[in-house]
Order: sequence, then C-alpha cells, then structure tokens
Amino acid sequence: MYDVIANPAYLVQLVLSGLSIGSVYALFAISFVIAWKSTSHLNLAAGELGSLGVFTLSSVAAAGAGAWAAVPLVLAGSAAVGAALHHGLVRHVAKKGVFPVVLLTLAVYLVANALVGLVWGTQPIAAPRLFPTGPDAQIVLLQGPPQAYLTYGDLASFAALAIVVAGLALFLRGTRFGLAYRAVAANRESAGLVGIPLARTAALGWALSALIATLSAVLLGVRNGSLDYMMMTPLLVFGLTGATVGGLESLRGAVAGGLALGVLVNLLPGLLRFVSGDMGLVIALVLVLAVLLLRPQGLFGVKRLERV
Amino acid sequence: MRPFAVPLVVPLGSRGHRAYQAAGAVIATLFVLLAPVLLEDYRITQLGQALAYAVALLGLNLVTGISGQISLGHGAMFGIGAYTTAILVSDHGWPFAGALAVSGVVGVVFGVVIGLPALRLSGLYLAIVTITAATAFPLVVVQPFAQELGTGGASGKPVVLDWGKPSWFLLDVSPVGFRFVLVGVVCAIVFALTGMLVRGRVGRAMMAVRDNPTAAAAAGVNLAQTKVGAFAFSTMLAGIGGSLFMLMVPIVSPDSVGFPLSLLFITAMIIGGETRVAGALVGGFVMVFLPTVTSELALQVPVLADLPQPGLLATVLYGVILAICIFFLPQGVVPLVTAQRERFIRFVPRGVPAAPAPHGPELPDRTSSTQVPAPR
Repeated sequence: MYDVIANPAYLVQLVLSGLSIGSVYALFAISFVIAWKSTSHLNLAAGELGSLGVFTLSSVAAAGAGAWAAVPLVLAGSAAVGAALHHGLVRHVAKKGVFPVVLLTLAVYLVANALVGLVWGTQPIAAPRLFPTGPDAQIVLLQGPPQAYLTYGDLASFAALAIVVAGLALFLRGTRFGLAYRAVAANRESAGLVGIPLARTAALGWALSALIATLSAVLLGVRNGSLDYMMMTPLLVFGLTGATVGGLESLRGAVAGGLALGVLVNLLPGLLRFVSGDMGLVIALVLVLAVLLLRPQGLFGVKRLERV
Repeated sequence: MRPFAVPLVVPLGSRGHRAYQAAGAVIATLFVLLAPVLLEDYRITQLGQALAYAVALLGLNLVTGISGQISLGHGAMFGIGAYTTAILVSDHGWPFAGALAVSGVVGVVFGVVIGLPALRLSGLYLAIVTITAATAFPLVVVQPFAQELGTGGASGKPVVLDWGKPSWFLLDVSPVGFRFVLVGVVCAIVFALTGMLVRGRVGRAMMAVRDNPTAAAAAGVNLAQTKVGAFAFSTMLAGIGGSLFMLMVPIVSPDSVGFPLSLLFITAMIIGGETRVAGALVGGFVMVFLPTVTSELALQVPVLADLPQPGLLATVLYGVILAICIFFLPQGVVPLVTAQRERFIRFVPRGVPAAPAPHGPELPDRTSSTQVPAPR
C-alpha cells in the first residue's frame, strides 16, 4: 500500500496536485473578486462565459488554426463579452438591487450553458492540445513507487496564476485605469464624485472577470483532456468558495482561499478513509460554513463598519 | 357609462369578501376532486407534480420574496424530502403521513444548519452557501455511507407504495387519482396556513426585515431569528414538497435533484411572482408544463427538430424568460392577474375611503402612522 498518507512521496504528490488544481480555483476566485470589487455584484455567469470561450477555442483549433494563436483571441473575445454583459444587461438592473443582478447572471448562466450543450453536444469532446499530455509527459520529482511528479498541466496552472497575479498587480498599481478601479473598489460614491467614470470601470471589472474565468476554463479543459458542457458548474462553486473563504473583497484572499481549498480537497479524502469518490464539493460546503461561523469576513477580509 | 367602469369595492373581512374567498375554496376543492375523475392518469400526474412543486416554491417565495434572502439550494432541500420519504416508506415500512412529517422536520434541521451561519450576515452569503449545497447534494447521495442509509446510489431510489383507492373514498378514481387528491389536500392545507402566516405578525416582521433591516431591528424585530426562521420554514416546505412529489413520481435519483432543479425553482418563482402566495401555484405549473410545451413546439420547427438535445431548448427559454421577467415583470405574472381583477372588484382594508380622492389619497392620521423614519 503506497497510498497511505504517511508515505512522504504520496503526501508530496497530494499537496502538489492540490496546489495545482487550487491554482485553477484561485483563478476563478479572482474572477469573482475582480467583478465584486468594482460593482458589489456576484457574476454567476462567469463560468459559462469561460465555457463558451474554451469550446470556441476547441473548434478553432480543430479547424486547423494553431491552438496557441487562438488563445489570446478567445481571451480577448470573452473580455468583450464580459464588458458587454455588464454594459448591456447588468448595468440596467443594478439599480433594482443585488438579487435581480444575481438572477440575471443566473439567466445568462442558463442560456450560455444550454447553448454550449446545443452547439457542441452534451457528450464530452476532446480538449485543444496546448502542451503534451499523457502518462509520459510528466516531470518526476521523487523517484520510485509512488512517484511525486508534475504534469505540464500543473506547470501551466502555476504559471497562469502567477502571470494573472503579477499582471493584476502591475495593472492595478501602475496604470490610470488601475488607480480608477481601486478608487471605485474603495468607495464607489466618492470615486464617482471625483469624476471617475463608474460605468466604464464596472465594465472593466466584468471584462477582466470574464477573461480570467475563460483562462481557468481553458486550464481545466486542458488538464482534464476533455471538455464537458457541465464542467464549469463545480468550478463555479469552488471558485465562489475560495473567494468567500479568503474574503470577497480581497484578491490576496482569493488566491489563498483557492489554493487552500485545492489542498484540502485533495488531502482530506486521503486522511479520512471513510469518504470516497468525489467529495470536493461537500468539503467546500463544510469549509464555507465553518468560515462563515468563525470568521464571517473571510480570512483576508476587512470588517466594514457602517453608519446607519 | 360603460359597464364595470367603476369596480365594486369590498372591505376586507366583510361578508362579500368572505363569499369571494369561499368561492375560491369551492373552486379549488372542485378542481382537486374532479380532475382525477375527468382526466387520464398522465395528465393527473402532471397536475400532481405541479402541486408538489408549488409547495416547495411557496417556501422559496417566503424566503426570497417575503423576507428578502436568496436561496439557490431549494432543489437539494426538495431532494432531501424526497429521499427521506422514499427511505422511510420503502425500507422501514413507515406510513406515508409519518414520512411526510419527518421530511418536513429534516428540512427544518438542514435549513437551520445551512441558514444559521449564512443568515447572521447580510448580503449574498445565503446564495453562496445554498449554491454550494445544491451542487454538493447529488454527490453526497452516491457516497458509500449514504448508500448504507438506503439512497440507492446513482441509479436512484424507488418508493414502493401499493395504494389502491380505499373503500371509503366514493369518487371513481384510479390509484393515481387518489394520490393526486392526497397531494391536493396537503397542498391546500400548506397554502392556507402559510397564507395566514404571511398576513400575520410573522409575515410583517419578515417583510420589515426585507424592506429595511435597520428599521426593523430598531422596531424590535430580531433579525437573525426572523431570517433563520423564514429559511427553516421554507426548507421545511421544500422537504414536504419533495415528499409529496414521491406520490406522483415514485423514484428519486441524484440527477433529478441537482443544481438544475434549484435553478428551475428560482426561474419558476420569478415567473409566478416572488412576493405572492398565488405566484407559487403559477410557478408550479410553469415548472411542469413549460418544458413539455417547448419541446413540442421545437419539434414543429424544422431546424430545431434536428437538434440533438431538444430538452436544452427549454433551458434556453427559461433563461430568456427569466431575463425578460427581471427587466419588465419583476413582480411576476400574478400582479397582472390581480390588476385585471381590480377592474371589476377591489378589496380594501376597513376604514379606507372607497375611492381615492381626486387629489391623491388621504394622509393617515400622524399619530397612528406605522411608518418608521427612514434611516439617515
């Protein structure tokens, strides 16, 4: 029996693959947080926009265009869709309150999800091949059974998370748009009073949200090796959990929450032998309930004081 | 002067109002008793499903429309009720009435466990927790420990109910028809009791929490208690609805109670009207008949008939209708019906002038005003 938690290589392997899938969760959590900070709305449609993007990517790649060349195009396209979603629909409902926006994004979720199912079918299809996959395409870290290894999908997930975090940091701290975004996130009314265009900043937040969600969808598809029209719903929940655990207002929290969730989801079934199969979502539920009980603002969140 | 140009004005609680209510009750009774006599089993099953859904939707109305929280997990609660009933009746030989009651209690327990952490906070936390619960529930059901409880795993759990029509029941109905009457009776009781609850002190507290939590707290409403209570009551109704559903469709499987069901509940609630008790009834019928109608329509359009998954068309339509409702009909369809009725007959509280004065409504007496000052 190699698959005991006391075996160091097995433990290392569990933590590594946990961190790796956690990077995808973290990306999706960032996608929530980035829309949340600019508008205080939950973008439940983000996952399905990502799904549209990755299925389009697979079609483009299958048509003979280079998959790598299509990635930036698809990402840009999904950013445009995200901005259009906010500018064309969400903006007009936002004044009615928080819940109509949630319901509207659910409506978009339903339509986008069913459209993907209608166009590409409900059976899994092959994912675009962006880098080598298969049993041999892995980098062995610890020899001998059981091995500890990294796949190219793991490396791509780490790289994507690092690039997004660094890119966001540069963008938010180094550019005028980033400054405007941070001002809106800190205090929307005051930001509007000093002349920051709120609608444009909000659309920017939603565009970034859709872009990052699509990136996570591409990663998930490439890691799985196949695309399924329902594959983004669990990721939506994991991302939401990661964001809530970290604190909905905090990008740092989203990264930490997503990574922690990935490790927990991988480690707990190894520790508690009575659970089996796909318990990830249940672990997520217990985690989010525990965090809301013990530290409602999330690990990195700040308690907002309100005058009434 | 056109006929009916001036609506008939009836004070609430007057003899005329009571007669109107009695007429409604008589029509409902006739519907529940005559439908199984006149219709074939397939239609009766559909109507029964609609009523079972309506009970769960009533719970959703209560939590979302009346007390202003959003739950995306009522599909899971519905499933918990269905599984509880199936396991108790099939494996442990319980009578259905007992299983129905236990399903409601289990619903309350889960409502408190899920609602307590989320509802102490304001905002979207209930939505986040319930969406997680809704997606996790089908996975819990197929776990080994759940299968030991008797959930039947991925293939589903059938209910064994060998009920014919008892001899004291005089109408000539099929076994399905008799079960439909049972669903109808429970549904009527639930709607009547919940209607009273909403119109009374508890309902007013819930609406106060929805409209202005700060003012409600200042007026002595315990926010957390009211919100958790509303959510637990609503999950109880969802559990009862799931239990009733077992009378009509005697099998429950993880696929049938997943996240899509929760989304259907939300959509149907919005279409019916989230703040109206009657909206739940409309929503129940929407849930049953919209997919059937869409797939029948789709089969007549040549391009759409060739699609591999005609069922997904119904989902697209749900989404589009949901978006249209959010934009143009945020109160659902029931207020439209009410507006039509008010052209002919209006109900006003006692002591309110029958018709509004030409210069706008009379201001109520300052001292008896129940309005709370708006927060700064």
